[in-house]
Amino acid sequence: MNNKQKAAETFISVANVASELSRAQSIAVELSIISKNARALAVRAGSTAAGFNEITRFIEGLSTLTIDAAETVSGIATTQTKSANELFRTYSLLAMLDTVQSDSEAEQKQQILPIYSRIQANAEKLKNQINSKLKELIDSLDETKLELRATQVVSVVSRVESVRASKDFQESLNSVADKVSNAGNRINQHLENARKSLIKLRP
Amino acid sequence: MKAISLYQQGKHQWLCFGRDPDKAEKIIDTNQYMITNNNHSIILDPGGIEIFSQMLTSVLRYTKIDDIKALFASHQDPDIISSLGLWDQCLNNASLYSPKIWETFIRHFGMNNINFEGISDEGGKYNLDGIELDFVPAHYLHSSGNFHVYDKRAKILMSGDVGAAMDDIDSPFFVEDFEEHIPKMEYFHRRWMPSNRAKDEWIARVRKLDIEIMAPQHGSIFKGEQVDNFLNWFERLDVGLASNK
Repeated sequence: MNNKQKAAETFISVANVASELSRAQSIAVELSIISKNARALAVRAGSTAAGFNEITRFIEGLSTLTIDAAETVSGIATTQTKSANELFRTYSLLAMLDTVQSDSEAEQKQQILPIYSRIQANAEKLKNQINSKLKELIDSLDETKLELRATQVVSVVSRVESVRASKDFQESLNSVADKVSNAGNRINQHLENARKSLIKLRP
Repeated sequence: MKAISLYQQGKHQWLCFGRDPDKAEKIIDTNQYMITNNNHSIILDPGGIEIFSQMLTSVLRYTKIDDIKALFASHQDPDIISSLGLWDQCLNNASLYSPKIWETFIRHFGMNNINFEGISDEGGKYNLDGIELDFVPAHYLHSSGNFHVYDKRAKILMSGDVGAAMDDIDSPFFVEDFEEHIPKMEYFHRRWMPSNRAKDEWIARVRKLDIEIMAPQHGSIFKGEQVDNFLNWFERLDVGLASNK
């Protein structure tokens, strides 16, 4: 794969990451709504579901964490897309300057040389910038994924708490546990997709 | 890419670049122009991305990269100026002269270093190291913001898409037989030029100029009596016609 193709693959992959993150963010908003509904449910269930009330705060925290992480990673991804696009254009220009060089006389070649060097240095700078941000992106995704493992714990604890609640509320509280678990899995899947897109770009 | 000199008086020169044999088949052939005077050059309608390397190779045979002080884009079309992002990375301290109304559109081609000099609707002037060039309004011919370049000293009008012909890659640089040339121009002018009123205003404006050469962006160049032949033909032509049947 030549430099131009690599740059093209980078901006396509990073755009995919931004898209996966945007989907994860939408699910995190759902998670926030689940948490608010669960809190209302816990209030109605009264003292038997007091533990559940605490759990809802934790769910809300996870939702906020995911939304914030997605925003941060999306921001980096957007900048990366721009840089990769710029790198693609720069490599295109370098390829064209190669043609100019090979078709030119010595005097014209001398004129092209400083432009070529400047643009090549710029390409190198962009490439390094992209690679270092790539690492940052992967680390951020890994960190978020790690914190999201808590959704499964929350789900299990919710089920335990629902057993202690009065029978009228048990089904609803179990449903909250299911929804939390499901949302966590879906967010994780999108983060994993994003991660896979980034891993293959690593130099 | 071939190059011919249209005019030379001392260090003042007009060059036309075109008839590129390496051009991809489905890309319309374009004429690019460069005017130089002393150590100062301006490229008129520098062309699309696809011909950038051929253009750069060609112009460097006649000027130094640092002497290219300006680009001119008659309007916003890709065959006119989509190479802007590439020139932008190669030129130092250059300006782009183009219709003011197209600035925000043209910037989509990429322009971080080149300075944009918008030409307002009434036209403007450019000083090429002592040679005065006029930006002549040609709005709606065919673009809603459109200018041509007139060099009074060389008596050359760069007429953008006016006078354009869809011709073979090996066609002559100059119109030889006007009657034979008409079929190559007629559909283009009828279909691309949207307004008879704009056309008539432009003809009236241009008839006041002393023109020896009329240089369009596509096809052969009009010289001497062919300029008048063209203006008379264009005057009679009903434009702005498209069939939607």
